[in-house]
Amino acid sequence: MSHAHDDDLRMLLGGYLLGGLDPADTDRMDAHLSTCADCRVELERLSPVPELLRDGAPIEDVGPPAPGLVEDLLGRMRAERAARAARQRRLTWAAAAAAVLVAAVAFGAGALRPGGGGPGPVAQPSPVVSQPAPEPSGVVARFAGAAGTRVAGVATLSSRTWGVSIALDMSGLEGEAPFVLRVSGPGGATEQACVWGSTPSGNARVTGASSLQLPAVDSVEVADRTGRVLATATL
Amino acid sequence: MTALYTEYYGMLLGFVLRYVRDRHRAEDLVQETLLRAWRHIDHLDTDPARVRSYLLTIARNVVTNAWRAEQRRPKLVSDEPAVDAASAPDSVDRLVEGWLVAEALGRLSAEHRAVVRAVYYEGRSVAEAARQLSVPEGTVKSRAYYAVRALRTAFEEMGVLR
Ligand SMILES: [Zn+2]
Repeated sequence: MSHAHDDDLRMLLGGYLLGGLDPADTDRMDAHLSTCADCRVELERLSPVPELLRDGAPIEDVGPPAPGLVEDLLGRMRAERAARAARQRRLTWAAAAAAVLVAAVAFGAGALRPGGGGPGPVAQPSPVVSQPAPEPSGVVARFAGAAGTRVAGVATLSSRTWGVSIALDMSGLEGEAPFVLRVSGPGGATEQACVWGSTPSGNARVTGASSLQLPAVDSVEVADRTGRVLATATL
Repeated sequence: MTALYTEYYGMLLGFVLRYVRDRHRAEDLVQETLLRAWRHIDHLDTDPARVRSYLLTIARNVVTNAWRAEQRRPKLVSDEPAVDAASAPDSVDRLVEGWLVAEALGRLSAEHRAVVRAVYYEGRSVAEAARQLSVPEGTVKSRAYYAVRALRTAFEEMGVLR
């Protein structure tokens, strides 16, 4: 089959991928694709686009949550956190990190979903009379440099559904790159939150992530390749 | 023949279930795919690999149309599908992808972006989009094509696609 079709049929690939073609055009394209390898290859090449568009579809505004829902969720989140911290003490840190991440993500996804439909979450009176106010989402911790270093800086920790995000602003870094940021939690559980190389100035601004929940973080420390601790910030 | 199509059916169901959680709905879409393909399948040689690739080509279009139809339906909160633990990790990826998609769409011209919004996110037909945007249908078709190509390039530049 010749490619005299291209101006007309080739253009239909856009509508075929995004949708919106009428049944006649769809059938023309189905027929054409059964014989034209060129168009099949082009379709294959472009097919990730609608998939990416779909996965990144704009999040719909479903309006404000029911009164009391957020308080209820925060209460559940705190209970979850306490249970998790207790569980974590009993597990090795690696296993705990995996479990926490799954639990945090599962809970986060549930929390995003307003409870419509069935006898969903009802704002129940909390058994705890005075609940603490929700923690601020960002906590700033200042680093103390190890003896004999000029390392200084701050870590800003922000709570996330999946754990904690840690933004570092460091200066005076010296020693053998790569540098690592480690996060310590309950029972000495430690996670590596990010790794970066040396900079001519000794300054670095990097962001790392850990599956530990913000309230569970005891301290963060920066070490060099040899494991020498350059600076520690205690929360 | 039956064995071959049983195999195709299984493959298509596996593919469709990646996008559609409800099994009955997924099976409907597989059947629609096979019905559409069977109208043209005699043009193909009997190479199973080519038949498979052709079936997947059609299945993608069927899944896209189903998804668009859902976007267009008025949403009720109680329509939200149950989120189970197994599928939950998607939601983190989704946040990242949301940002990437916004970035890629931002690189399109306003005309191309308007066509993507109308036919893809709002689920309009080419004819409806043409009326909404006051351009001929042929223009909607060509803009849709060039928009998808431009998005492919944008995702490549952003390192999302190779
Ligand atoms: Zn062609």
